[in-house]
Amino acid sequence: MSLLQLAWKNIAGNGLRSWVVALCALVVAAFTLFATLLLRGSATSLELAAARLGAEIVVVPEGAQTEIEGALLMGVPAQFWMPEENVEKLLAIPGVEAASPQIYLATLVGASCCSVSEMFMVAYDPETDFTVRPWLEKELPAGLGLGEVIGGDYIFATEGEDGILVYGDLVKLVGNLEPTGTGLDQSLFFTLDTAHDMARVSLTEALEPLVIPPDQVSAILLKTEPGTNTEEIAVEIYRTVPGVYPIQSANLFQTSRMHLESLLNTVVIVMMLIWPLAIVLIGMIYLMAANERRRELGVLRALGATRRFVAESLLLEASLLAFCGASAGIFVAVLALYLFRRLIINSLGVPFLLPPPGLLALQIGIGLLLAMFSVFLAALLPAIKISRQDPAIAMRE
Amino acid sequence: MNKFLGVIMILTALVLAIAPVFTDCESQGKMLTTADGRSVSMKCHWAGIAEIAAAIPLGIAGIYALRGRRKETLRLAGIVGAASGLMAILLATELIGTCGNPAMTCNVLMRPIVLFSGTLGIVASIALFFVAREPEPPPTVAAA
Repeated sequence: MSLLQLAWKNIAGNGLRSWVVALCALVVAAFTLFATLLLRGSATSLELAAARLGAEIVVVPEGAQTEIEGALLMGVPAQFWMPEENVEKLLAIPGVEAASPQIYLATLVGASCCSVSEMFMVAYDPETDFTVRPWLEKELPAGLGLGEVIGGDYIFATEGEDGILVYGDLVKLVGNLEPTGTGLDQSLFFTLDTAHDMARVSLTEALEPLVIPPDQVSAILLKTEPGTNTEEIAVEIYRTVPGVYPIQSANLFQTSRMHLESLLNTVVIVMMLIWPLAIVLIGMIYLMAANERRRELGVLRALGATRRFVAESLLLEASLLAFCGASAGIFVAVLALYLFRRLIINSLGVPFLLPPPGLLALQIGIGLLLAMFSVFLAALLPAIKISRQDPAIAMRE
Repeated sequence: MNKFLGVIMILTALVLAIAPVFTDCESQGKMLTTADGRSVSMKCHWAGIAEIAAAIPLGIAGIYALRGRRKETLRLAGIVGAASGLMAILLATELIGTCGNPAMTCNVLMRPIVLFSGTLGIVASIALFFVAREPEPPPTVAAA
């Protein structure tokens, strides 16, 4: 009988012990992977959202900092206004290379003139834009025309093959952007001309007209000259342009970053409780099992098995159980995280995007190794202890 | 092992039969209003009702896994369980489906629950099939 066969027979021979050990490995692997994937997925999503914004500084009306984060991250519709003349003032600041205004709008709640209720919408200026256009260039080199819109990953056509009704205006959905795991996935993007056309149509076709105050914009996105200090520019903006608040891209989503940090601390504390407890529990199970199996292992030694063979059979048994338990735990964790990602985003209020397959495989490997190492560590002491006992004494007891 | 797998199959069948009732859009008071003003259920509601039809054979297969002794019975229970789990997934994705808007309750809650439970049901059923794959020993004939 080979070492592997002996280990399998021992596993099958003591169902309860095997189940408890496998369950411990399952919990350790599932929790570690779930927490790691969730935190890394949220961080990746935040970085992707900031990168997609493409601006070094976002200038919003004073007091709208939290609202813009909610809109960009969670898709919570937000509307705020500031004078369009701020674009010229910002362009006059040394170090600012480009400035592009955007208007933030929202569809009506529960109105038949809007296909989707409470959808966040972004209108951009194609003449000056440097944030939305780069994403479009891959699919739509000519950019968006009048009456054309592009949606986030969650946006789908509701009227016919590619139509969406917004304030009674039937616009054409020409494509969808790659997912980011943020509110941008449930947002609609179009040009300022389309926004003004919507406002015109809404006067006769919508339950409530779409109001875009003249010469007002919601936010201005800034691109700085290479090598300039964005912090100095932000201070200069705050000093020279009244009523606005400049947010550096590094400081964007600060509330979510803090939320993530507190989540990370909680996860670390829970891990510090679960991991040693699982090791102690498995260690105690193996210690009891080693005592129970003294005679059996004594016979094995008397038949010629070396100390190393006995220790290895116990460790292999533990490793097999850890592998099976951890594999099941990893499968459940990844499946749950993938299927319930929208519920997690809504419940925790953090964006989330599953990492790319390579990174996911690496994290799965780390989770598996951690669980196997935990069980191996717990079984090591009992295995060494039992392999050192004298066969004659063990068989007599 | 087969008892444990049987319990998983029964639990997943219960979740498949019960959870959609409380997690479809209608459970949140959302219904379609027709042109003549009537309120009708959305398709996620009917998908949820149809899940009961997939859950029943899965639950029965689970009971067989729990109580059955013959390897052939267990293997058959594994096949029926896997087919029922697959049917549960197909009902919520392809055959009937859920609402179009990914942000609606049925897509945030009901569909993930059904897919998760269906997958677990399939995995448990396949495991049951393989656990019971060893051939039964031939019946012994008592010497006269």
